[in-house]
Amino acid sequence: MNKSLNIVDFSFIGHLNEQKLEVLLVEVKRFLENNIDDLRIKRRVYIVAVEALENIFRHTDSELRKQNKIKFSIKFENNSYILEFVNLVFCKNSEKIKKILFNIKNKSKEEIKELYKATITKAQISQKGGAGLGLIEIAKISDNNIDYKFKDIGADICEFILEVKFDMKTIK
Amino acid sequence: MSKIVIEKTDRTPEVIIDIDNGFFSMQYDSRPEDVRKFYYPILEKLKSIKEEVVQAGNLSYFKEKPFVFTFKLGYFNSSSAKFILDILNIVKLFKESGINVEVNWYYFEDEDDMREAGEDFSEFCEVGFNYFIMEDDDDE
Repeated sequence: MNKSLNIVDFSFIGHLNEQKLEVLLVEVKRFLENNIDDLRIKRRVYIVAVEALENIFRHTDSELRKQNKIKFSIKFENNSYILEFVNLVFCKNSEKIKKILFNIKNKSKEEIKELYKATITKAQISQKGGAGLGLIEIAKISDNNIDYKFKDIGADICEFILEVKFDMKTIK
Repeated sequence: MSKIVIEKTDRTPEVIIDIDNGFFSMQYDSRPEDVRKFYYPILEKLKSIKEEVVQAGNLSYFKEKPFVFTFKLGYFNSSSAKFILDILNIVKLFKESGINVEVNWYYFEDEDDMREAGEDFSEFCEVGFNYFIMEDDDDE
């Protein structure tokens, strides 16, 4: 349930650095506290926001960092909470992300759990601090309610758009 | 030093390792800036405790009273989850060495996901957990 009938959407457009990421996550937490009563949804939305934003922060190519103005929003529409993340990637690197997401999207809940187990038990933490679990965690927590697309904006640069939805009618 | 206390910060949990009393606890959120720097010393400490207990022949002490591992976590990111599992895999080594262990996993009543996370960890490390519903006061 929303605390307010006229829920205010959350949106952010800008560059991310370590400090800005921290401030942004504090703002997200505050937004969720003020707008969502359901502890379960609040937690899930926060987990997705952290994992996706940390992924963007960690994996943005250094050559794109200056121009990578990321867009992030949380909105409530048709009884669903929808999180959207837009960031820039080199199109040549999009195939790798597509392959990971395609693999995740085609899995059942049980298969996602198996993938999570296989990944966490073998995970090595990278120099960037990731365990390769972020997207799997997002799929696990959202019942695989994820969608993505890559939009070519020229000069071998693509917008990577990731959408994660929590449908209040079907959520368990 | 028989007791180690790592104070909580905005991004890291409070960790207490009390060797004399056979107690380990982790509480609050975990999203360290440098996840390896935060967790590696904890893992090393737990491994050395296991060796000390086994080598000093203190196993009988932990037959009477278990070495208790308590988790009262808030939010933890996926990198932290990997290290929490590493801690639990050391708990499994404690058990395999003959040290009696008890793992207590706390969660808020409305947070089924947190209970499920505990059940997953228990399955992955093959150690049974006790589950407790956390009162608001527990989080203070």
